[in-house]
Amino acid sequence: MGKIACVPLVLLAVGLASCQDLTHQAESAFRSGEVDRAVALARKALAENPSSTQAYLILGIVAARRNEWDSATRSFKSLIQLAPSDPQPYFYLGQGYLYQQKWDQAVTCFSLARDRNYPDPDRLGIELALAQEQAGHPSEAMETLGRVQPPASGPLAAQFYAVTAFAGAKLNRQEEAAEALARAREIDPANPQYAEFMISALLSVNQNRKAREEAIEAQKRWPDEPEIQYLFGLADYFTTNGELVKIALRNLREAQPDSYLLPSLEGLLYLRQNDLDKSATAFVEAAKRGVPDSHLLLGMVYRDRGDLEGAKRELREAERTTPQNGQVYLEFGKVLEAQAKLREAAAQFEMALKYMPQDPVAHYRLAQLYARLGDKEKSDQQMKLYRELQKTAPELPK
Amino acid sequence: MRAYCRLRPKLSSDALNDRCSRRRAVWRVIAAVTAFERVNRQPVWANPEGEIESFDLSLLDEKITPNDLFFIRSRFSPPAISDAWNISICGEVSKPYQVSVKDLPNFAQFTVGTTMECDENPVGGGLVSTAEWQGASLAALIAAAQPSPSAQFVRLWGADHEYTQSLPLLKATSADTLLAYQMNGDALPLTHGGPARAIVPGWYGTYSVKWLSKVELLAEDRGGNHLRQIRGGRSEPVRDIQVKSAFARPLDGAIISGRRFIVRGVAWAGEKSIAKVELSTDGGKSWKAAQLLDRPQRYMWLRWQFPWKIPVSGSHVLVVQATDSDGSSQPAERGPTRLDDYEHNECQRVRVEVIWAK
Repeated sequence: MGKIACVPLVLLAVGLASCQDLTHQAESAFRSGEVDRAVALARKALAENPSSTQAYLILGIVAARRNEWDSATRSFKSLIQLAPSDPQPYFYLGQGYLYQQKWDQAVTCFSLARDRNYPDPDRLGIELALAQEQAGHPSEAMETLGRVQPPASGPLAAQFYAVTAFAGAKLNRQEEAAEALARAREIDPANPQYAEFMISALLSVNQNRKAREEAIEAQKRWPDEPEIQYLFGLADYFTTNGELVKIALRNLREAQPDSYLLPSLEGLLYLRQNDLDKSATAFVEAAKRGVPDSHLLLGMVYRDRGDLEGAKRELREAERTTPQNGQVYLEFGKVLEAQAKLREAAAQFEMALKYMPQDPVAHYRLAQLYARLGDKEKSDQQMKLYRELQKTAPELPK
Repeated sequence: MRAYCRLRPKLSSDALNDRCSRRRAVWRVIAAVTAFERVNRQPVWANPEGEIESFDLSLLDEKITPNDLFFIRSRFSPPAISDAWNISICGEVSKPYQVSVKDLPNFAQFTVGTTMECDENPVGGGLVSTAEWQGASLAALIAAAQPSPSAQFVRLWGADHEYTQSLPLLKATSADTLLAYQMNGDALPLTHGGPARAIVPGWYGTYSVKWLSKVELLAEDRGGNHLRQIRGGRSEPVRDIQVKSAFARPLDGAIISGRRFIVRGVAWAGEKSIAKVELSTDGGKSWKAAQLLDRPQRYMWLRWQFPWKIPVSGSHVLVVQATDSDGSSQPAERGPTRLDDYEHNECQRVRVEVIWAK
């Protein structure tokens, strides 16, 4: 009896030893770059021991590296079921969600990893802050970062400053954002995202000439980065009315012939050629493809074509999709002003300034509008702010 | 555009993060190289009064360079320009006279397309551009003054601190030498020598004197001030533009993420035309012909391109070499006996990093 009862236990012990050996082999294969072999060994280990956390970890990481997110998620979730108090799988799952741009899920996973005392709280905090910032919670991201000891160098250091910059910009803490961005670029200068962000940020405060200079340098550094080419065209359009848009479009086509950004640049090129109809068609296509700000551009084209109701419809859509974009309110204000709806227009310009407090055009427009509404005090106040901003942007109209 | 920013997250765990760190390591190397090259590309001279602004070759599109992108190189700052701008034709002539810019259309008119290059343009530098110049034939202007038989040279005077350059009468009166007052269809801008400048096609830009005020015919050469100096040899003026080519994209230090890239650039050969352009993507070990996008013609650069199918990620050195219609090719390196800093026409090499996502 004792002998019989002992047999399965012995077999189990042998099985576990074998599984452990297999996971070691899988890990060693993974580390030496033999990924397919690592996967095969991990699967074999799981067949022998379905509770092998190490095997799930290897399968999850390999799947993540191959962008096979469903598979990666399954492996990490299995890992969580096997070891629910272990913070590691939550952390890995959170990273998977980050890659998939599932920001809210990433926030949840990183928070659960934090609750389980993830051993590297600074790293965790920086990842969590990124997810929070992208999920639209810049204040929470800043709070999280405030509890983190910033690393001196490396990718996490760059990410720390980048998130500080992005969140700071959203919170209109422009100086802090600019300083943080400079640090991020210093630490990770090969990363085109900071150039993209810098160009966007400069455009957002109407520093178009500087944005164009930045974009020209960026398109040299990253000649086949689609977003850089797009921003190059955009910045040039806002500065020179598009003398270089054709080059940006060519570069973008060569870099990514099926880029979702192409119709938008085509629209800008048609705008330069004063072909509003073709431009509108291109922006409609861009909007369908989800290009940021297509509805805004479309609204501007409709306004230029004299279709003020069409412009309002598109700008409302732009407001719905990007409610924190001050430019949308600025353009909306211009349309309402053209319809002689002065008070409504003033309200839109005030909204624009809420999101773009340093925007000279909004201050200027508002000053003129208040003057027309007979409110001299407010008009003078806005004009004073405009004059201050003019000192740093000589291209602004006198 | 506003709010356009999508942050692409990067995995930061050790197990998954090797891509980022490799990118950074690569960058440091590139940054060091480009910083070094930038320092070495500074011209040896520097005049606080003059102006220098390169054409950004990465903005090359059409064959003709737009006026506002055309390079600017002035030894001195522009002179004060009056509405009644006159040019004297004098020296070894029977009938010296003055002509106002307004009267230039009364002389034989023509348009010439030329690639102008500064003789101090470094390898890969943007002190080179191409424009179409419209104006009066310098030969016709000189003929109207009835040159003496002794006249063999012409000295061109600029109004900027009396800057001068002299050239043989034969070149000054060639059918293509021009006194230009228009550039690409617009009135010649002040920064480009307006209201009138000489255009000496195929010769370095130093001869295309800006703000032209005097055309003086001489019996003897008063010499050029830009001399080719060869160790153990005689110094002689730098004149006709040497065969040369340049990359427009990618430029040195570029980071490429795709598996194919269309390499672009220009090549020019002064008074000759371009016969071929070859490209090496392995630092000069092997060469392939680039596709010429424009008809080869003297004076004008042509654009070329090369579809590069990138075999492997990592560091690549691209080299371009042009050959002119006389069979002269760009040298791989500057000759060791050359002592001056003019006419740099060595093959351009650019180092790019190809980083593929895993």
